[in-house]
Amino acid sequence: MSFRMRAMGSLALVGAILAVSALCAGAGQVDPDPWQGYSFFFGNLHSHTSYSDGVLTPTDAFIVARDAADMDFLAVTDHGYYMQESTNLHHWYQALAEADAMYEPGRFVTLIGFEWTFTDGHMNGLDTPVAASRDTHRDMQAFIDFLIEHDGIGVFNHPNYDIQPNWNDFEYRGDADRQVALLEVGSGPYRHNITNERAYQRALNRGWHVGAASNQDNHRADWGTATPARTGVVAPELTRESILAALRAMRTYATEDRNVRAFLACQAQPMGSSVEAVRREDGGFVSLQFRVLVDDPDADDILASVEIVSNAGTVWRDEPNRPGVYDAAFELLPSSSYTWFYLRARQADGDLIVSSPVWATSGSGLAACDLEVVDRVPQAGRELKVRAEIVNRNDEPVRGCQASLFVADDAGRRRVATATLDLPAARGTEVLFSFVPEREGKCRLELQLEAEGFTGDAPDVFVGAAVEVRKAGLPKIIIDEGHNNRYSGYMNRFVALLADLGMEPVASRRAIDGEVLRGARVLVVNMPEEGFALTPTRFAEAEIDALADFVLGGGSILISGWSAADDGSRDPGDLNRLLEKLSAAMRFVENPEPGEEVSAAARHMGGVVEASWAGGAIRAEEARPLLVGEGPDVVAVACGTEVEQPFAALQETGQGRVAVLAAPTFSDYDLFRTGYSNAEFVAAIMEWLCGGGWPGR
Amino acid sequence: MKRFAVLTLSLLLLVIVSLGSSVAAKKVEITFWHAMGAQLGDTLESLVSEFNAQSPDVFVRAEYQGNYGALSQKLVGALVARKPPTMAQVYGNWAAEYIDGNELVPVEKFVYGPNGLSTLEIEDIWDGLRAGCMFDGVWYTMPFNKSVYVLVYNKDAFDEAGIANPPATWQELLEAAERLTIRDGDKIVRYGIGLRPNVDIFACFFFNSGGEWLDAAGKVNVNGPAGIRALQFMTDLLHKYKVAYYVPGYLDADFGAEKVAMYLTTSPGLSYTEESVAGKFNWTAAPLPYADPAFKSTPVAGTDLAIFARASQEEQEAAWKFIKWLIEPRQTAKWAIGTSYIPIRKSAMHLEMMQKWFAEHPRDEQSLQQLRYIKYDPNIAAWSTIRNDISEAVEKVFLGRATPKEALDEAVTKANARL
Repeated sequence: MSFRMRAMGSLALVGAILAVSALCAGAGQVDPDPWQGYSFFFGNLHSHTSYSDGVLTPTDAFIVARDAADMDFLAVTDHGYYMQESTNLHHWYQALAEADAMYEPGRFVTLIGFEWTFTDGHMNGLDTPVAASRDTHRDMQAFIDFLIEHDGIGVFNHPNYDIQPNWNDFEYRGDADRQVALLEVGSGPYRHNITNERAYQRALNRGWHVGAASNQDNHRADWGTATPARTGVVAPELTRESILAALRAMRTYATEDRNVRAFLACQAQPMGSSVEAVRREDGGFVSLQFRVLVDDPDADDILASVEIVSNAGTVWRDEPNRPGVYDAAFELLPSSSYTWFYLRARQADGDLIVSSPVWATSGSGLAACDLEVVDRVPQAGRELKVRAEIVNRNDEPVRGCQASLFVADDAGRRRVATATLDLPAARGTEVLFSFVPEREGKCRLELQLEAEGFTGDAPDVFVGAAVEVRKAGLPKIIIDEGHNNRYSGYMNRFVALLADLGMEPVASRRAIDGEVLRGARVLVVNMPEEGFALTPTRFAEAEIDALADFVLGGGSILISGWSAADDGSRDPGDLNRLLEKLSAAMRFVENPEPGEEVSAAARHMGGVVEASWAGGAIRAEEARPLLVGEGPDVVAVACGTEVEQPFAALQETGQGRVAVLAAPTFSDYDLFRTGYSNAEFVAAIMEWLCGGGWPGR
Repeated sequence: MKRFAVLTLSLLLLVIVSLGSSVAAKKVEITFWHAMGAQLGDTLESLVSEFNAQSPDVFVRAEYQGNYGALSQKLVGALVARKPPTMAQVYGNWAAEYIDGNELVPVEKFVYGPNGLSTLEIEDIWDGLRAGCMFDGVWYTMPFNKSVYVLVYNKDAFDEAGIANPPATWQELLEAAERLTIRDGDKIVRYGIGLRPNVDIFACFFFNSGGEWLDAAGKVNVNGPAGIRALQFMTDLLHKYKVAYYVPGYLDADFGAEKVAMYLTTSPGLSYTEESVAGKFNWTAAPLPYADPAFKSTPVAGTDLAIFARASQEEQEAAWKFIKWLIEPRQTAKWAIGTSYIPIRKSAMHLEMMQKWFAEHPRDEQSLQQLRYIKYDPNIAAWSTIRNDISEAVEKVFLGRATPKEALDEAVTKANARL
């Protein structure tokens, strides 16, 4: 390859910076035109008019964008379903005619596209002779076929996980990847609209070659004026052909500043390009030469930071903190055989700039992502499952691909599992490995792929998540979800907290008996909910006996109340019977008086509780108050001792321990919230249940 | 000679033109703004043509204004410009706003007038639909394109899962959704049911949980036990049981692609479902499941016909003639057959064409089963904004950002401040 470089040193740290040489403007600069002859144009590729659900006409939109917003180009992209034969087809042709009338090469480029609104996610289509709509093209494949038929340009619109499933989380499809050129890293008529970096990175990780755009999605007469945010296009000239070619080539960036010029080059290739990631004989990669240019013509726009972001995280950073032309050249290593790099710059006023990526690939057409452990708490000596997704970006299937899982740690790099895979063309394939880690400690996962005719001399290597293997025999915490007592979807944060504490959380949907409890240190039981359920809503007598035997014989139990709402949805009767069998001094209040539960819980929220729980606030949205009687066995009442109906109580009984909470402060809603966290309180309880002491006692 | 011929021809043309205009002048021309596109628009156009052909004194100019959003915008603009159409399709809360501005003529003025409807005819209009057209005890609008929500389900998937009947209760819905959900390790290949984070789908659960939008004092009442139970149940389907997923957009394509085995839609949505399924599997529709049989209900959707007060007396009467004709059993049956909206007249069900249609399209009949149980949005001007407050609450809970109680409390605070 022409850009193959000599090997640089022997640093093996993947993704590390080899050498950095930030060049200030003019200082030591020899390149006569670092901008490679390109000009920079600013515009918006997503807007609406009254031809769908916006206002006025495309002509009005073009005039506002050109004259009031000082843009170089605007695409009017009304919703396709407004412009079909059965509705207002003439609007489509009228829009095209208006765009032609307003087009002035060298001054203002007018484009007409359409928005296709499908549940998987909305997309824009540009450079097609007709519009598609959700009525005529009723699924993703139909829309992609439409783009292929007309060689149109696709754009992933507002890829916000809160509002759309993002095309099945950017599941890779090669035919679509060839047509979809851009993703709205910034979307909407807001000043700081670059909010979709997570989706951008997800798409890149899953193999998509898409560039960055920041569009306004205008529905009012504010085309371009709604916000300074723009899509920056790097092109030789301001013509339709040149702009469209730049969009297809992904020579673009998303910017919240109206006129900043940003340029990223790798091996002298501009953003949007792919270069080869060359392997050295020792297995590492040859470094790549990067060049970053940022120039804001406004003297008061200060460039605060410049970063290179890749699938290995932020791999390069500088904080110039000054206005003017910024020019830096440096070398970086690819982290894997499929590595993307993009430029992220921030100005002192908060404006963000995100460029299209450059890709460094081995040329095999393979990419891998999501190399991670499936099990929540890896333990030495116990089987560990690891998954990964391998994306075959080639147009042909890859047969007999040898996939090897390596573990790298202080002791070296070892192959621990292999699989032979047939990878279908232009699709992702999930692979599952399992192996038994021998030693505890931190390690890193690596996936190595060898495919004849694809991977060449050196195999492809992809680096995955860092993994902490814990020692064997962690305390096992069983969380009961066999009694309609809200585990799934409500305890994710609790489970993560337990893993962090070095405990092993296990959910159980089975009826409770000695077998389920075997080897368990703590059982967590939430008060069951009556009503619509897939599991029993009551505890059988035998289950209560098994629970009592477990605790009295040395186990621990955490029992939590839930809603005290007087709607019959929760009945503490079974759990109170268990407490009775445990000779516990506390009970749930059976039928709280209306309002009683509110005052009882309120008294234990925030400041009041801090008096007895030094660690911080305890809050829960709903609580069923406790009654705690006098008794020599009550060794600790965690909080609320001064009130009749406390929020939490702990007691040693028989050989075991019991903790009772009025409400699950460990639910996803209550563990962490804006302004407070119950994590420390919950951790203290779990550690006490595992045999530890109570803080401050 | 040649000149004479030209002159004769011109005279002839003049005579024809004046004849034509004198014929047209006999008819009162009225404008009817609507939002019925595609197949719905075709059916409406054919009814309007039929009316125009047979009416000796009224000519209806039906004008498609785009979707409901566009229609609403144009109506508001036209009212500001004091040039509204003679009649239009309106939602209850639009009508409430227009009534506040004295822009509508109560339809009861004509219903009880000399060319009005008999008591039998009035009672032949489904009670619930009529009730939805009352504003402070005054009958203002005429039900037109009305639909109810139904549960659409994949019959083949039900058969494979060994589920004999569509779920009637929430418990059955939950169990069916669980059995219809296909899991492959961590991934879910097909969800039992698809939901949407909006007020309409919430209403399908809220009403079936015993909810009423407003309490006796006229305050928004969505945060009571019925609302919390409904939203909690929907959220549980999503997050606790993981047998549902939700998307903001339409679900017919997802149903057609077998990503979900059930979803809720209005009766006209069935034609989209038919297109999306495209014969890949058998499917049908059933009434909405309920929390308790006592709560059995369905929200009614769609618009009513309103006559604008700015129209002349003559035009108003002409509009009434058209409306009266349009809701005759035969026309309402034709409308129902062409669009899957429900026929607003009970007697339309006995017409041969309707019976034949239901025999061939059992799915459409499911909507009618629900007509006895309909509930509708309050006819108050603030309702369109309050709908957004409730949709926001539903979305917030689906996203795990609030408990049902928190989110609904917030929505109620906002909503009641708008009343």
